[in-house]
Amino acid sequence: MFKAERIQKIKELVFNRRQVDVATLSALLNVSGVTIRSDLEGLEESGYLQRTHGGAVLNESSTSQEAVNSHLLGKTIRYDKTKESIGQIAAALIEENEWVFLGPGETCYYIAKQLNGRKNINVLTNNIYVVNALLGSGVNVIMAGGNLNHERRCVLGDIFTKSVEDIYLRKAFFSVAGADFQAGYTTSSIGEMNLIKFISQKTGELIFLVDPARFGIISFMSVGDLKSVPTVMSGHKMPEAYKKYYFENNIRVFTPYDLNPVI
Amino acid sequence: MDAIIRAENITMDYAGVTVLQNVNFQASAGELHAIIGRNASGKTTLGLIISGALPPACGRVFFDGITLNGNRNRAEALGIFMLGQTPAVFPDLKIYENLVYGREKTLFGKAVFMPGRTKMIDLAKNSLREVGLNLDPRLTGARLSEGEIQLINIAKVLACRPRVLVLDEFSASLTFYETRKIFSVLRRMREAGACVILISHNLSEIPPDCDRVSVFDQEGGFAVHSMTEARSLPLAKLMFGRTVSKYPYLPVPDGKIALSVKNINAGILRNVSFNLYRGELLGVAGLVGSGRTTLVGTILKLLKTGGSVEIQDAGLYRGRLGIIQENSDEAMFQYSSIGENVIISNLKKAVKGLFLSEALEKIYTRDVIDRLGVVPGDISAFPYMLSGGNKQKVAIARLLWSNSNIILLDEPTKNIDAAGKVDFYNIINQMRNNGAAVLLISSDFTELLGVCSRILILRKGRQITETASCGTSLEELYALTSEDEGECNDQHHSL
Repeated sequence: MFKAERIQKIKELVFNRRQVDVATLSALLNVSGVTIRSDLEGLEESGYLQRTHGGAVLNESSTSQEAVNSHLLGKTIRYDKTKESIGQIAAALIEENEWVFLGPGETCYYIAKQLNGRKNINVLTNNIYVVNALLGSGVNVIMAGGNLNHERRCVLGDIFTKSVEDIYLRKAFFSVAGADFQAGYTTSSIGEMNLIKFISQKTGELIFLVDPARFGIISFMSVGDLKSVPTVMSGHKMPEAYKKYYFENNIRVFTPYDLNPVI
Repeated sequence: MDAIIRAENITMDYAGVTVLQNVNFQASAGELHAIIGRNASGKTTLGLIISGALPPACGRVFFDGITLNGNRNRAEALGIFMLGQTPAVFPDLKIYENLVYGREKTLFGKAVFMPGRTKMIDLAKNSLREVGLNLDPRLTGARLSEGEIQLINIAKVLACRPRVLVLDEFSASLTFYETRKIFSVLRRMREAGACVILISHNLSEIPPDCDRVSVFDQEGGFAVHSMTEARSLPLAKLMFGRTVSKYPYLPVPDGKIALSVKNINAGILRNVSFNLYRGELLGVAGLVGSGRTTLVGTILKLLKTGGSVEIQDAGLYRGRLGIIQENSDEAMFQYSSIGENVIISNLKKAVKGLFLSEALEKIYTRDVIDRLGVVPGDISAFPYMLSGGNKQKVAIARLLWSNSNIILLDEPTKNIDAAGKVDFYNIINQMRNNGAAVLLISSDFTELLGVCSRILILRKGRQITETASCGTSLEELYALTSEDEGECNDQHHSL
């Protein structure tokens, strides 16, 4: 049983019984107590339940309509100043009447958030967070179908690629899990790798979003070397060696700065 | 014309890396010859070989029929000199001593004793006059500007009556005025029948009346052209790289007018008018001597001008000028901490009660230095400990402290490395996003095209046109700034 599936089961159980104990969950789901405790911890953080000694009780307010709404609207995303600033700069790069693709991940959610209120922008996405962020905005959104990836909250797979076979995009934004001189860009799943490879054939400009802490890190699947993408966005704390490398190889790097001083 | 310097099939390698391969080069007496190429294309190596200071691995070099073998002293005795990229003087020796040092025999024959002080000073006076320097020969070297040091080194060579002079990247750190002085000295040498060879990575830094230009292109080729040919299409492309996209160009919608300049007439400038908008990054392109620096002086009201320069204030927005120059060293107090250097831009803001508040200084500078990523992030460090890029970040911190929102940048990235440039323009982008208006003067046209949305073209003090950077190629920009060649009129120019 996968983690996402297990968490869903725990939620159901807590919802139905109002309170559960670790031993019961461990027996029902056939995993160790340690795993259950860590799952409960996660659910407590998200506000769904409260842990008690040896178990957990349902957080009644979390099932209220407000909580349901906040869940729907993607508010469970953790606030991240850097990602928000990257979102601002990325949104500034998106021009009127352009078609852009926003890939999976939180940074793309922040980009979408900045597009709120803009006119004549067209977004293709597979990211549920992005759809949530753009609900009710003036942006034209196409959400293509596919296999739901519960953890990343996006859709992937053949169905997705088939349904957008004939499109052409001006820009495409993707988060990658690692960027390294030797291994190039890497991502954590085959599904995402296939998606990036598919979209890169259909777009004018591919833009990679890299967490500054992700330089020098090698993830699972390779999606091309560092020279394969003309534009990179990251935090300004990205290592200097990479800044230098990119500049010397004619790749532009955007890093936002927070210039609102304390005084 | 007969070649005075002739290099045949020169091949050179350092530790297995081939720098020059089968290069042929010729230059004649009475010629101003430029050698142009990208960094690491082998220009300096070729310069050393043709000036007889370095023996080539293969091939031969002739001076007036004599084979040069890499013996520098012998070459100098023949009248061939080369001045390197960063000429120096002894800071503790006086100018006249610097001029004579190492050339005693050439200058004074085989005298057993050193000539007397008066004789040396007289000689120095003549030499200084020859290069147009009005300095007391008894000044010590430490008190000279970089341009003066360049000129003194040229004077030193001139005293030996050179027949060939090779200058390597001589104008890299010179001001407009100093460069002009050197150009006119070089022209006089040419008229006197000497062969002057200039090495540069930038076509805009060589005088427009060069006789011939030898170009290292990106494919490793080497060929000679006339100046007009060199200015025509493909060459500039070869030199400066193919793409402009390595700069983070951020489109920010233009806001209201921040600075309005109308009909400026100052120094060389004639009828220059433009508006600078909030959020905009407006480039100013022009060759050396087109009046770019005068423009900055006029906006800062250091120079008297006909016409007007108006800073627009509207509502909450108060226009405040700030400037960042090529060399932040000059703008910083070298023996004051980074913190003190930052708050100097608005001391009032740091006052609590009767005195400057150290606590306030610390809180602000620590914070801003962290936000800008200055390394080392120690606010008690001194500016001279910082790299070029980090110095410019401190200069930015200073502008932020004084809430400057009309920023003049005069060759701001000249002394900073690749990573520093990436940071610098991203910070400027962010300032524009927050409403700052920015004017950028740069001789790096790739940079202008890379970061600006609009570029003003200045040619000999006249505003020729303005162009959008998207859709303008480097070659077009080049042609716009330099179409009409010839020497700039020798108007006195001060800043």
